[in-house]
Amino acid sequence: MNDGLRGYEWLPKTQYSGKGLVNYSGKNFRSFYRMEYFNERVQRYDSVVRENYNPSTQTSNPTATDAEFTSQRIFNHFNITGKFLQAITYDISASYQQQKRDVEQYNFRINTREKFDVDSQEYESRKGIYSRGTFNDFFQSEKVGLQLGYELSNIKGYSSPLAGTFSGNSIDRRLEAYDAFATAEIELGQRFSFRPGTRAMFSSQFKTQMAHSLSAKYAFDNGYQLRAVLGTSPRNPNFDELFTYFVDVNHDVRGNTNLSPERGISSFLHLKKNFFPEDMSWRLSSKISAWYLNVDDRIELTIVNPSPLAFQYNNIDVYRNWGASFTNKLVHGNLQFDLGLSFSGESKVLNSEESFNDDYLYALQVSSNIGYQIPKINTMVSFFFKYNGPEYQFILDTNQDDPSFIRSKRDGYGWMDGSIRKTFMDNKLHLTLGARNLLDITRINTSTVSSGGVHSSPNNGLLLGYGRSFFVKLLYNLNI
Amino acid sequence: MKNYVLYVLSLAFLLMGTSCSDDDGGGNTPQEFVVAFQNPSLSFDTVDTEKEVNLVFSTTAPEDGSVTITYTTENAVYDTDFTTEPAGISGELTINFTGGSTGTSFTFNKLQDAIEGIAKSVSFTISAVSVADATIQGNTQLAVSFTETAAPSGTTSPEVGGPNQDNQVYVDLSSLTETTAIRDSWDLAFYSGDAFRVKINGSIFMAVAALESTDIDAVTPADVETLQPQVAVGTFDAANMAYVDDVTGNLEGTAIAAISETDADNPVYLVNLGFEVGTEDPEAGAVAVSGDPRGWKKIRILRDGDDYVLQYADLDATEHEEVTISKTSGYHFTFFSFDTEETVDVQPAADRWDISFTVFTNEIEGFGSYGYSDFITTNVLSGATAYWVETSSTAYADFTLANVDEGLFQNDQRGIGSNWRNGGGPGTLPSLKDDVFFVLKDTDGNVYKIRFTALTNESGVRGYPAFEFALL
Repeated sequence: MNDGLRGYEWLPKTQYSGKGLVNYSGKNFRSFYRMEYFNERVQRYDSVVRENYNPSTQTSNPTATDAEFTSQRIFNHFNITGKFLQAITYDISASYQQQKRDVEQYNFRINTREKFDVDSQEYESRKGIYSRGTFNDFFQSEKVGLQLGYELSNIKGYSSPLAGTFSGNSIDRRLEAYDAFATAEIELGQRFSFRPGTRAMFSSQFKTQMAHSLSAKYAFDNGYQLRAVLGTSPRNPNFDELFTYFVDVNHDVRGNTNLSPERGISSFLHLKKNFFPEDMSWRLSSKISAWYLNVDDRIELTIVNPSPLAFQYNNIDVYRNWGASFTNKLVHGNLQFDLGLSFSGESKVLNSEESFNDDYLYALQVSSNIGYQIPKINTMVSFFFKYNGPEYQFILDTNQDDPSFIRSKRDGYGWMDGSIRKTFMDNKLHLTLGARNLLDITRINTSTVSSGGVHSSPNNGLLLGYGRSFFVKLLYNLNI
Repeated sequence: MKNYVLYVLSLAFLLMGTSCSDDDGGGNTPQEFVVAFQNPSLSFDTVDTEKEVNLVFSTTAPEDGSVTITYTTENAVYDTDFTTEPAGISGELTINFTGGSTGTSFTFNKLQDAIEGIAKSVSFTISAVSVADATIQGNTQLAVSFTETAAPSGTTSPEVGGPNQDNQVYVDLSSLTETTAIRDSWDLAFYSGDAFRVKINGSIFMAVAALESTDIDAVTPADVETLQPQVAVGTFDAANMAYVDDVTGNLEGTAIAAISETDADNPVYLVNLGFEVGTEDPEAGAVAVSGDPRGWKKIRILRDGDDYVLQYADLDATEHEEVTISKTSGYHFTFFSFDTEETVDVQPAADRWDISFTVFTNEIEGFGSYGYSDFITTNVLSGATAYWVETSSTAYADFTLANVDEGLFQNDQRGIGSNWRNGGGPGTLPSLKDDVFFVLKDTDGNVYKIRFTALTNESGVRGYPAFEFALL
């Protein structure tokens, strides 16, 4: 009866999405309105079947406990940009987003295909408004620029007790955040410019915080450009980090209301140059970046349970990250090639550990993208390849008397997608044939690195994908 | 000035996975309506005069109807030796049921006992069911014996009480009888045999620790403050096994030492009274066995001839109560409750039960005591022991007396224990283990095979076990 065949490891789902965009331009201003709609149904058929064998009548009446999740998301975005008082340019966006997930739980008599004990309810929902505005060009000067801006969000969230262990209560919360910021740009001569900035952050949840930044840019004779950025960045935990309760069968991601704001200092150094021959037959853009970040009380999604995988946002005492990246983009005729290398090391100190090991853990990422346009047949062929080197993460080890975080390694893996896109009818109709996950990645080994001889337990690894998949996409642009 | 409006509409439909609309293959298999006797046999001892005969359906009755049962007799005459309700007329009786019900019943009245040495019985057979397309299969016959005989087979659903698992249920297979006791209706069990031993109620996670003192009135809350956090079940400390009774059921291993004739050798014990039976309604498939903590007591137990003397008091009391508790002949224990401050009835007579469904304080080796729901103990004090068989070695149906391996019966009340279900974990609820069955030697030396058929009810709510058994 329980042959392991009922139920899916990767749940079947049906998704529908639609998008709409309206543009309007007038004198001195442009605006657009964008709407997105998304609908998803996920069915969970339990792999455990209760046979309900009745020895007296020698009959079975197998039942299972199933559930169906229905999610809907509506996103409205309105943007207006323009000029007023002949000089000042503005760029204002406002959006309203609504998402809701309902659940229908039921028991199912398999023989008679009959649902019973049906219980439908709102599982969770979020509604929020968000707005951001910037105002530029206060001075009629080429040398000095000033930008003023604001950013505000007001998000209301609801989570039913079903979505988690709230001791039987639903969670209904509102989080408001209001930021005001100002940035100036000052040019000293042709080659050198710098840009100081400051931001004040007000929130319904935390005390007011300030952030400051300073960046400087220098242009060399031979086309090289060097840029340095230094900033302090306190960051309040956002709604997700505080109140997220995204728990269904595929996911277990939880917010943490005990989070405190992050305090960080960051520094970046960028060097870039564009190379091209005189006839402009090809162009190569290269950029080298190096950075160092230091964050106190950094918020991070940590694995609190490896299988089934469960995440929770936590303040990690100290977080340091340094790294370097090298990115290149080559365009030659109809060929486009991107290659990026990134190497970073991070060091974390965990709140909860009595003794910790704050060695840097290094990770390597390589990503490349190659695309070729065949003009005669209006066809674009492209491949994407990415390699993620081994990564390390912290796992909450509950097999000990005092649960504690231990380090775990996730093996490296490559990921490749490919597609062919052909356009018809003056670019109005696009047909794309593609394949995702060509290397057929499903599970990635994770292992506990025994630091100091703690236990290491075999597990099935992390489920990353459901295997190779193919898709067909048809897109038609309607000009009215 | 140029105004233009551009609409871009795109619609993408994406169907992912190889999802079909359901996951159970095949078509609609209508559930057939089967009527059967719950058990194929029924026997009377000299005390019983009437018993209910249950008929069960494979599914809820689709409509009002009736079952026709015929009977034949052996040395028994209707109206002289027995009657039924509804009444039988010329070898036949009709029992009605209503649509939506899951079973029906009739009453069998025994009027005269059998004469020693002469078999006396009535045999019932289901002959017809009024519902169209109904099937008669399974236990189509019932043999009623006027003398006590071990049931050759049967099925039962002990009333554990749902997800709070309110009851301890004692089951006697041979007579198919059940006795229930509310889990927190008792605290201490005083052994009625030769030894002077006292057990605690592990079904509500009680724990006890011996103190230095022998003066119960002198013990203060401050004396035990540091000890209290350790004297509990489930502290994940291997050393806490000292505070609970031996999990195998061996009386030598009670947490309270043997009661000595010498009063000075009997110390005061700190008693953690465990938890009340839970009242919360947990998510389907989970249990809520523990309610509010029941608090603490201090006790001291002495002997007075063949009796026990129990001294008890609240931790902060400077005086104590004292009660004399006598052994109960024919029973394993005399049970005492601090709530009623009286002895209470819990178990049936010593050899009148084979297995007990109970919440249980078990041990996880290396981590100490740990509370188990859905646990089953055997009456090891009367010699009832069990072991488990995997269906991969022998199927339940094929298992006969020849397959019984005497060497596997262990002197441990946990022979069935929690082995009949899969343990849960994060994200998975416990479920019935359908690839094992058990061999049980009962208190009379009969050997049964037992197979569990349910851990939950049809809706997946825990605390509704069911099993079938057959005499080998």
